[in-house]
Amino acid sequence: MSTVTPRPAVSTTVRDAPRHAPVIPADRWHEPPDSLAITAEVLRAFRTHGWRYTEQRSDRWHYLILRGHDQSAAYKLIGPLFDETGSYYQGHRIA
Amino acid sequence: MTIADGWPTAARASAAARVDDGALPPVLHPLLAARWSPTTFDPSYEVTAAEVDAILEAARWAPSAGNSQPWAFITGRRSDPIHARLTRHLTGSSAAWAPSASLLVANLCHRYVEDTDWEYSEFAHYDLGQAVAHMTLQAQALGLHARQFRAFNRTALAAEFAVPQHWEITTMSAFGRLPPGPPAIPERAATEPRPPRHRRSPRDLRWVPGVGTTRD
Repeated sequence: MSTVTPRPAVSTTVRDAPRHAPVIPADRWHEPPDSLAITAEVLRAFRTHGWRYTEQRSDRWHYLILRGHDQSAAYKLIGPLFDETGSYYQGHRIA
Repeated sequence: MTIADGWPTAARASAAARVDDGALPPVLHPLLAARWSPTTFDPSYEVTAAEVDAILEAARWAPSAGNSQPWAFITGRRSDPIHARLTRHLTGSSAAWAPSASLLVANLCHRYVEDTDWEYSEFAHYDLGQAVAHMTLQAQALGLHARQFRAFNRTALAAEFAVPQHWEITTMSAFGRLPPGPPAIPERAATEPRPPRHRRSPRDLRWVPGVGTTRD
């Protein structure tokens, strides 16, 4: 004889989708990481933390150039990608 | 081929040829079969706030790439000032008929990442269209009809509502009930038989490998 096990209830609670979490600790914005997920929120945060950014295109690739804090950083962008909360560009630091 | 005189019958006959186990053949859902896009609405019907909420809720639960939900909506019920602000920027034919709609909705697409020209999602338009389709059917279930249109001044409307450049007002939708009597502008009354709806043949939908489609 088999028994029927009730399926676990599925929550139908409606929640606001989480926003992209900060990707860089608050005290580390002067050190651009080797890789990061870039969203509008992240670009705003870079500006807030003293960076200016420009974009460049070459062939089919997008590049993000950051300048500030007496240094610069360049990211090659891949995207848009999705993380179930929205889209983002994965930035891989190349300089 | 028409909904009224052909498609369901053809589908039924086609299905009957394949199904011999007594199962009911597939038919078009009544909500889909009854949907059409009027240009005359009952100017006395006031859509309720609950109906607007239900229509937006249908959009909210539409599928999207990576759950990116690249849409937003400006809604104006005829009784509120937003309806008047939306109406102000209608152009062409829509200026004649859309003001009678109980609800006007501007359908916004999240096209770019803010302050860049990077596309937010390559599927943003596709997803917005899908959300609007959900709204249309939800409205149909509420006894409302919808017509989607593009005859509005996109630039002026974006300025009117301070829509930033990374968003686009892609289309608008008009929702309302059909008028109970003869319409004020020349169009067939809701009670009169409508002309058949014409669509391409089901055969034209299928892309045949190595052949393509029968369409041009």
